[in-house]
Amino acid sequence: MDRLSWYQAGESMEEILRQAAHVGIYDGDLKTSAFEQGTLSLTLQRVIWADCSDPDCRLILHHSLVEKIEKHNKSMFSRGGKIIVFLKPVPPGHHQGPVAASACRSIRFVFRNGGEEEFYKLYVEALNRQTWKRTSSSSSSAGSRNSHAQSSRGGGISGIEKRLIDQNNKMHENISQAFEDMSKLMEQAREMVNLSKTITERLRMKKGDDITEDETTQFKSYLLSLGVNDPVTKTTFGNGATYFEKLAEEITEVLEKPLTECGGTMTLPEAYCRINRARGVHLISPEDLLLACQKLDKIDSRITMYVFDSGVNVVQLRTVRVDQMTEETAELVKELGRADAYKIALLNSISPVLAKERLLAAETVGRICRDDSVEGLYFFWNRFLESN
Amino acid sequence: MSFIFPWEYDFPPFFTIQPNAATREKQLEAWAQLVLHYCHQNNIYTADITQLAETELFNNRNLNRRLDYNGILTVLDYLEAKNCVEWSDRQKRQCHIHWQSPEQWAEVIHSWARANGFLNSVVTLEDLIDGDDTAQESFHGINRRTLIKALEALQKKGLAAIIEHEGAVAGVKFA
Repeated sequence: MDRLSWYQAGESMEEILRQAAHVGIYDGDLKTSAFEQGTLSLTLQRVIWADCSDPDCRLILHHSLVEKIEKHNKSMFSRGGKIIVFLKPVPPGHHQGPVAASACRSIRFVFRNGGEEEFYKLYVEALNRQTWKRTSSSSSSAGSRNSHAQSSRGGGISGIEKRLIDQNNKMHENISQAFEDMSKLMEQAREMVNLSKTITERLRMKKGDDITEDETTQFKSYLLSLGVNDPVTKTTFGNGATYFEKLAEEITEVLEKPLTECGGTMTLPEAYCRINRARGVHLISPEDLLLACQKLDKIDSRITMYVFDSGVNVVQLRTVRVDQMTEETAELVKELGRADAYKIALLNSISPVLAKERLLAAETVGRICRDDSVEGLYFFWNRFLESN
Repeated sequence: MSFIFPWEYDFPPFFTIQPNAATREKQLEAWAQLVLHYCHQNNIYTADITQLAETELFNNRNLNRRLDYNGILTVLDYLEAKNCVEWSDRQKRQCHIHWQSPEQWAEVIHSWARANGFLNSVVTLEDLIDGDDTAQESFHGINRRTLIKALEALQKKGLAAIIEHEGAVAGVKFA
């Protein structure tokens, strides 16, 4: 009982983990005590017992003084569930408590209204965390938080308000921390870009030396999946014509290969996805893409933008001839007998939008004719003009 | 004798008015011929568009294709431009179909009159349209309006004189 001391304002910010009402404190195995009725509060550092009838009578037991605790469930004869706290010897410089000396090495908390189960669980957790070891080292900050700790125990509306403010502050702290994490991430992304750059440099230098062709291509594919290693951005090239011209150059570089693979033509939305996929970060807007594509002719790029009569924009290799495309599509329709955009798209591995554009182009020159019914829009070889 | 449809009738795009101008011209030409042939074969002089739309002419059940209302209008307007169709109302619900021009009819009627000894005699319109003497003729059951047009053409050539009775055409005297 002598390890208990009179209450003093919090050593650091305390958060009440659990409270139980109608708790008595008993010394050792004694059946009577001066502290019969009170509210027991658990914090990370200590337990606080406050007398129901006398608000000034408050006792604390610091976790550092606790050897171990045990729980005794409520039996038929006892007055409530008990937590038995085995105590360590009195440390030097201990604050004076209500009892100067005691023979017993344990005290009991008796929970007359129950609730000892939960309390016990949290108590054990709090003990295991051993927060006091850390708080003692940071006791310098304790003073500044003194008033704070006091106010958090304040009752009434002002207490609630203060608690809300506390919560707000905490949230702000969390958020700003999260943003700090973001900027760290960005920094790391930059490092990644730098890394990929150095790897490419090294590859270029070591080419043919000790790295096999296979490894080189593998490396390069990794780099590609990382994105373009040096994206053209507005910050480096400003907002004007230069930016769009540089962007057009980048577009040429990125799209030339996929364009060759897919037959030379690609709709603008598809191109947009590819570009931004390749860039990874520093994404461009659709408008930027459109403006950059309009610059393709100016920089004499190997690809060019073409607008179909219906208004669909596509980028295509300069080597692709539209009339040749049309002819091919018409021949394909003749071969199939009857075709819709979907089928053409499948056979040519192009998008349905593009396939439809080709069909319409072939129709415009009179090579094929349409059959527009509830079954959908199909195209046939133009036998009307053929019969001539 | 069942009607023999042209190859276009089994070609699905035939039932979609083509957007390509050159193609459409060919298509409408084919439609025009088909409509006139069909009306000729089935002795259709006056047509109700909604009724006509349901006939096999515009509705190919084998192919599950039909020319929609606007398509039919396009075809008939095309025929109108060629003087083969005359709308009888402004809403374009009914029309007269002239699968032979009045001059062609005039020729047919006059040769019948010549062959059957009706020259220099008066024949009523009813006799021509519905009479026993014309039962085997192609103009049997001809539309009254079409008949008058044909007779007017004959009169112009001096081969017939139209006789009016109480302000309406009643008969004709072949010359």
